[in-house]
Amino acid sequence: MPKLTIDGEEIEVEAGLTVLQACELAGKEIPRFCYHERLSVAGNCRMCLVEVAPGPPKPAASCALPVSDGMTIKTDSEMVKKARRGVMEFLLINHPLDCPICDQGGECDLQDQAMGYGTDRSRFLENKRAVEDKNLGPLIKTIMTRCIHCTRCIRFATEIAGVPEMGATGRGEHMEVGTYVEKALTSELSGNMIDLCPVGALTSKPYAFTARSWELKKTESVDVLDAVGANIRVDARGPEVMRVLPRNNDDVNEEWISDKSRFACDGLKRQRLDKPYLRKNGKLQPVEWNEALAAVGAKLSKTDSKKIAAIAGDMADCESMLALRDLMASLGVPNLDCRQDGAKIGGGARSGYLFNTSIAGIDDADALLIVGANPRLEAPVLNARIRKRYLMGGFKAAVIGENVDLTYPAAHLGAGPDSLSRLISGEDPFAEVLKKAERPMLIVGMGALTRNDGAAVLGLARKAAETFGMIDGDWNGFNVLHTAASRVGGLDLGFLPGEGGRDTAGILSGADSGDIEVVYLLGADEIDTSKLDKAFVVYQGHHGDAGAHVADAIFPGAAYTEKSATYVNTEGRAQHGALAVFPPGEAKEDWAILRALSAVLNKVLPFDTLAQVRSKLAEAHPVFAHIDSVIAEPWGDFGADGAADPAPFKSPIDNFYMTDPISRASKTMAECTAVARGEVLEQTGTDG
Amino acid sequence: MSLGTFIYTLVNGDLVGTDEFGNRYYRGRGRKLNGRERRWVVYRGKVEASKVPPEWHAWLHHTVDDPLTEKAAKARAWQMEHQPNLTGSPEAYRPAGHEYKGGQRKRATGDYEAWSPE
Amino acid sequence: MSGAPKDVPQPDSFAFTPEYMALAEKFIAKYPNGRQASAVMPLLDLAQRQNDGWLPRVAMDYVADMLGMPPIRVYEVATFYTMYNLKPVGKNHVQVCTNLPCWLRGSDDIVKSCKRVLGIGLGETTEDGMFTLTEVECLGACVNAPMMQINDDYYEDLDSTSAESLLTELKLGESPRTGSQIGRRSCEPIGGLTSLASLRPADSGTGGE
Repeated sequence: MPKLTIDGEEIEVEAGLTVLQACELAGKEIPRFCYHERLSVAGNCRMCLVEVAPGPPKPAASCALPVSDGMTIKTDSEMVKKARRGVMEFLLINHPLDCPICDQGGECDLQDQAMGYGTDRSRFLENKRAVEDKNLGPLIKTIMTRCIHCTRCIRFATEIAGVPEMGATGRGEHMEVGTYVEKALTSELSGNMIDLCPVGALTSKPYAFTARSWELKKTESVDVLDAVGANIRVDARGPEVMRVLPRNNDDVNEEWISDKSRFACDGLKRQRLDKPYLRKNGKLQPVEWNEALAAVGAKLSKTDSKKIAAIAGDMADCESMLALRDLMASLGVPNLDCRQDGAKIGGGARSGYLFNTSIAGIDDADALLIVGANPRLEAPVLNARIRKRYLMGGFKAAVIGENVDLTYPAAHLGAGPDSLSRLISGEDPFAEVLKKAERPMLIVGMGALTRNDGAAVLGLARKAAETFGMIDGDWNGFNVLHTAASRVGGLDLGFLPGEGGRDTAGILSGADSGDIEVVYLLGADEIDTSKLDKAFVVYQGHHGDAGAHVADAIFPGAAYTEKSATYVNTEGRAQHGALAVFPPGEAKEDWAILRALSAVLNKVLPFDTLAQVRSKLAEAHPVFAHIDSVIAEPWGDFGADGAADPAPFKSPIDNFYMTDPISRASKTMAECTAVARGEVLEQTGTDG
Repeated sequence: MSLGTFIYTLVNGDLVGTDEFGNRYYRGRGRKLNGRERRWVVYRGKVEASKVPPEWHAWLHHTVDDPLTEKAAKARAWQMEHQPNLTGSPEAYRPAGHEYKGGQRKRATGDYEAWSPE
Repeated sequence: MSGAPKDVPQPDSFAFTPEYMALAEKFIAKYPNGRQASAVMPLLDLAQRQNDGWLPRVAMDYVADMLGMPPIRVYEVATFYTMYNLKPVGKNHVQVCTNLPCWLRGSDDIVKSCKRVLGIGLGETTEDGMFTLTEVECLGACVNAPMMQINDDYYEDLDSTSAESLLTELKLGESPRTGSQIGRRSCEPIGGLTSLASLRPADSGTGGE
């Protein structure tokens, strides 16, 4: 381990680090623009200059200089200060001083570092250059004159997102960053470029000119628009969520979030359920909470418990699922299901429905088989992690299912379950790869498990995992990739059909035939609601989507930014989301609605506060006592034997930008959908 | 006007002028107070300090020696007529969206769009 | 300059002719497997030659596809190097060097002569599509300054008379003599040898080459 002296202090660091990283470890702040720890080193901004001895008597770019033994580094010498001032002056030569009208103002690296390391005046009297703005689609607004050519966005697109569409064209003074040919970026992670951009060249188009960073209330929370459970920060002003930003969590999302997680927040302001409704004379009428609760309570207590059913939707939080489960249990209702898509999982061992390898564990895998999943659309952040693993080298991937571009090369072995059987029997050459791999992993997606033969496919996947030695000591390479944030939590809580109970399909057909009279939908919208016409439907949720339209009683609930709630991601990691703004109108937190309903039914649930609900959760399943950690699950029994239908797998996500009530209500997501479908790229005002 | 003020004005007051609203302005004869003459106003109708227009307000508060009536007569077209403070009266200012103004306000930031059936 | 040129009519398709394809394959074969992208510059040059001296976007896309690299990487290369023309050029691409050594030796006169003979300004193309006049940076022939390059040939040691006469010859469809216009060989000293003169073989004038 090399020993260095940084500003007179001795420090021993790992070999292979750069001088910049060593200085960080020593607690010295080095200004930088182009350097970013998750991107390759470019070394073109020159802001990180330090004085290094031995070496030529001139400042050296610390981001691109590896440490060596006996180095003496000065980060605050006169030479370094002068170099930084010089670099800053050069950067500001062509950077407009338009901070008052710049959306990056207040959170701008250039602004901060100009304050910290620059001079207080410019000697540049000539004209500044101006660059034409680019149109990168409905999410990213560009003001390219502000670009300082750090190339972070180019490196992000090429390395992390895997869509090499950004580049630097021209040379010298005429260099421009852009796509050359005008087009919207085709990445599901493009929004992260906005965070990466150290200046205001790339800013958020939907958020443009709406708020300043210092007037926002920041709340750390968890994303629920996919099952990855990306850590987010919700920025709110007053009662309004202004934007959603990623939060660093190396085990889950690193520092990326998908465009849907980031930009669907305008959907939180549209189509909201803000007061209770009851259907009177065939029409939904707004009513008081007491009346709505009393009516639903009366209906529930009058109905035979075998004729009541409850379905939990994709964004239900664990607190409300626990409350609903316990309420239904106290009524003796066996018809519960949290798998509104009909996935044939749950009931068996917990390892049978988890992403056992864990997201961080992908870094250790050396071969990957994807069955019936399109991680690029179902979990873009997780897909970026796989791509990261691919870039590290020595990694082979193959897909059974749709042959799509996953941003990394993956052999296409076939479209349906028969290809998987062929692989297991060793007929496919990829079987050799998996056998030879030390840590092979398998991802089975909802495209494979929501089919009628899902249990058989799950059994096949299990067989594949066992055949190829994916379960080996502390390595578990069997993974289920969920698409719904509530699913693992619901399965952990046992929100599943009881003795003789019906599952989602059974509930729907029962409601159609009249065997089920009351259906309680906890935010369940992605079901065939046409079958619910005859039943009395209670819809508890936050958006007026499919479920609300068939409802006979509506309880307005809270969206994920409006409640403190627990979600379990696809790895089985329980995380707490937090309340950023209050629910609109008369809407309430979901568990509290169910608690109130239980009082009307005289089956009072044993909790009054969030803390009490959470202690009940911890009793219900140990995962809720271990927040933000993954518990390794023992291999167990799950899946079923049997013949699988040879029909090809199809990803459940057809349109990435619209998968849930929030994103369906979002105007930004509607624009993205239009662009993704190849409709004309809308022009920005400056393009004319 | 109280009886005391009426008698005092009758005995000590010299009428200086009358503004367009009919308020009468007096200057004290005789003893000075704190080294300067006394000046006061007798309101027409309700006693309300904000009824004094600016040209008389300046004189009343010893800002100027003579009332600015000449200047006021040469008012520009864009100068608005003096208006007493209407707070508390039915004509008081109320923002758009106030109950008395129909209660219909424009969409503001932070508003959400509620779902409605049908 | 570096955004995609907007007012250029782009052809719909591009493909190498068999002769150019054979050359392209030769270039690609020079690089080890997996490093084919290294051949991007010679391939772009071939494409430019085949397409009358300029690179349409389809040609860049074609090269990108052939080398298995993202199109934007090809655009970066093509826009970086000034010798790739992204707009159509005339049959004779007259490139006059105006860098310091040529300028000191009178490149301003050469530019003036060119403008006068061709009737166009810098960066313009004659109406008949025969000539494009551009100002370029140093072409590495400073010893023979001032100079200009027309298509692949250098014309050196120019003055306004020789520049005008050679452009006139080109106009008439003749091929003027390339290299130095004052008769010196390569970059020999203009006034004959100044040193080692005694060692010079009496019969031959070999200096450079």
